[in-house]
Amino acid sequence: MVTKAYKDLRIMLDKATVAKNISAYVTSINGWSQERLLEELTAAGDTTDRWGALGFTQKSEVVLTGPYDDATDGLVDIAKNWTDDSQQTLQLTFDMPGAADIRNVECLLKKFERNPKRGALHECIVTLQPTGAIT
Amino acid sequence: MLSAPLTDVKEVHEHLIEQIDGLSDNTDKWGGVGQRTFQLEQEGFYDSGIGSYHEALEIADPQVLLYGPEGNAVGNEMLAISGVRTIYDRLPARGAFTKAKATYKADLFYGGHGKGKITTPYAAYTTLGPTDQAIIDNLAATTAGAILWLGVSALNLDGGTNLTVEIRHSTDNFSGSNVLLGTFTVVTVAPFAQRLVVAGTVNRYIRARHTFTGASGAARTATFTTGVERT
Repeated sequence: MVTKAYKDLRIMLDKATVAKNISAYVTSINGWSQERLLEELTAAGDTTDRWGALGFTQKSEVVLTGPYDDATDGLVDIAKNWTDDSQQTLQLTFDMPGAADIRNVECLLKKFERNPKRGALHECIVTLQPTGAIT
Repeated sequence: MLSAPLTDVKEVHEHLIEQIDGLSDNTDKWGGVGQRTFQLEQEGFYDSGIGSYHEALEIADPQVLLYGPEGNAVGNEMLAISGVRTIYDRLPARGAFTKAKATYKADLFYGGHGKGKITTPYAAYTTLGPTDQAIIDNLAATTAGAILWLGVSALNLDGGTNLTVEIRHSTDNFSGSNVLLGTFTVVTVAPFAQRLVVAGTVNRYIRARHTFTGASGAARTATFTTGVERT
């Protein structure tokens, strides 16, 4: 068994279609979640539940959180200048340095938050909505 | 200045999106509808002092709010909002100080919100003037005009006539070219705020200038900030 941790995660996000490594700017990610939609088919007479697959996969938002860092090509720089509805590629690699488990998906910027708090560094939260196929 | 009793600020810019996959798709697809929303939230301690937080939040009409998330120096980002306060919560609780929480939306009728640069750091200024601030180099001129912002929180003219604040621009780093871009309404009382729209070319270099006019005494002081947003 080969386990992986946060140190093995690499996060790349396009800035104007050019891939940038933003791993150093992301202190937490909500996860990478895909759900195959199912519908319950349990009918009268069944003694246990039955389910059918719709053949459809739903992707959850990806939320990247980190301290506010205005470095060029960092998370804040990309999100702050992403002011339109263009799609940019998000690439997540879960098993560095082997780099076999890589997921690419086009994303829309759904939300950009900047949150100063007493007793803490400013917090930056970027919410991406994946759209289309994962490659 | 309302930052003293504040403990948290939350600034949220949202792009509205809608799911657009159809019956034949096997995974979700999303599209942007070309519309943005903006919201600013602030939390802190309830302060009922004169000219304080509570007095400002009680006002229902749109108010100018100037916010510098990156520090208080010339060239730092300034977020300027002509906002309508939608929610104001006063939160007493046993065993704690009463808290205050407010939420603002940008009021587009009064200009919405914009992102520019600080041209005058928020501070108390006492020099008679004219006093020039540091120069901001935009690396190139722009041609779509600008929005100029002024916020004055305290003023003592000490017998003078008014405080004059202007933004100037230049093509050559103010070595020869020094042109007036816009002049705010003269300030005679505080608090005071103004949003000024200028059209046309904004040269590469800009800076702010202020002057106490009239026979202003040595006790003169003006606490204010300015910002410029190239449009």
